[in-house]
Amino acid sequence: MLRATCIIFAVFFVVNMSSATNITDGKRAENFIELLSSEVLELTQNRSLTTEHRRQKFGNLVEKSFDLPLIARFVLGRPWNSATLAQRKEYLELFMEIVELTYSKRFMEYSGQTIMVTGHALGKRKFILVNSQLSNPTKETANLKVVWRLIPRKNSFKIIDVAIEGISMAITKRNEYSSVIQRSGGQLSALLDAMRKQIAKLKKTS
Amino acid sequence: MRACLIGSYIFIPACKPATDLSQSDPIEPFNRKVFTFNDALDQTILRPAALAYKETVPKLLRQDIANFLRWLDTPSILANNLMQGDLQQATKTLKGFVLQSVSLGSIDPELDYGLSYRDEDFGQTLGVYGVEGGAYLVLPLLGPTNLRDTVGRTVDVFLNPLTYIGPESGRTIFKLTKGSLEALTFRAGYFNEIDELRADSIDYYARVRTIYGQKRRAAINNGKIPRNLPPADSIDAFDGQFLKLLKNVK
Repeated sequence: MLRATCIIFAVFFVVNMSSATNITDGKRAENFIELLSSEVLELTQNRSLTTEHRRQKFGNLVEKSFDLPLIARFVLGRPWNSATLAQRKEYLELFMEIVELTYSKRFMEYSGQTIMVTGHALGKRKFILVNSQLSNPTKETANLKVVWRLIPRKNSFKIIDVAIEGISMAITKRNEYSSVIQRSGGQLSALLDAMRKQIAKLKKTS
Repeated sequence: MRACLIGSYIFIPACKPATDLSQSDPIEPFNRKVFTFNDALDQTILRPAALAYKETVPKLLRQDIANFLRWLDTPSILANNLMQGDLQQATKTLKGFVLQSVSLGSIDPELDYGLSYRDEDFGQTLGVYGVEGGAYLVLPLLGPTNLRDTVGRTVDVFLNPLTYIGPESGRTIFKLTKGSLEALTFRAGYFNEIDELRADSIDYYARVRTIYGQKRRAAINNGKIPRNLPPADSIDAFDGQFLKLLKNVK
């Protein structure tokens, strides 16, 4: 009887403890996004920085906040397993460069959007979803619902996906890349080639 | 429930749950041709027209036009709210419709009364009852869709009383004008976003296809993550694949 009581107590204690940890994690994840948003805002408003310096700082911020190598591997999917070491290395480099060029371009065109964190949800597993609203005072369209998918890492978090109005950036990229590989008869080299061309195009327009 | 069964019967290949994150596209070569045709039309006609519309028509008037187009669709939205059993949203749709009608569009139900607007159609209603999208389709002028949503679009036409009012020639002109205005307001409203999407893609067709699928899924779930996901659903598959990667990385 005493043993059973102990077990019940232990289970109750563990359940309570874990839910308490989860609440804290969720709140901490919300703070993580709020902090990131204010850091971005600060960077855009800091007039003393040169364009190049600002771009570099923004790149560091993205690298610090997103788990880019993990996202890159998710985006490539199965072809990663059959890729040679050289191909993997090149793919990761090209992926990072595309992300940096795309986001720095968007960042430079930043026009006063603000992120307002509205809450969080705990995924079935270890993921934490932070809900937010992206408001744009200059736009005619409504506020956008943005959900950030985070994983806990070394006392902090890393973003592994951003979904805007239900459209996941990681799934979108993954489907696009897999289509390029599929259309070339399963050749990863075709994707790498398309990525190189994409970088050249982005560099021209940035 | 009956709708689900009928839908399941029509969409047998579609009802097989997607085991990966991609979309069924059995007639891709044909779809790609139509997509190229639509894109050419966009670049030569729709985009320049949307740009001119944005630059010449004042913002408030553009907003009124968008509201008027929404108002015209309210009867079929209301019917779909009810068919989905969403009485709360049906009340909002009805209140918004009355307010807009009485004020001749000068009241914005969402801004002035907090009556959130949500677009609904019969494709979404079928989705709510479990009918999967089925094969992806790109229709000339109308753009991306799938089997379920094509059926939905047709049913929505019959759900709208405007389909039955006036002489036939007048109805055709009305339908064409409404369709063109809808395309124009959509292109103008998302002008930069569509341009960026096109410029940033390495496979524009594939990107639009996946965005369409995800957007429809979000619309069916009204932006929420559904509670009872089938095991192979993309959100779960997404978590599963990320977890597998995390294990490998460690």
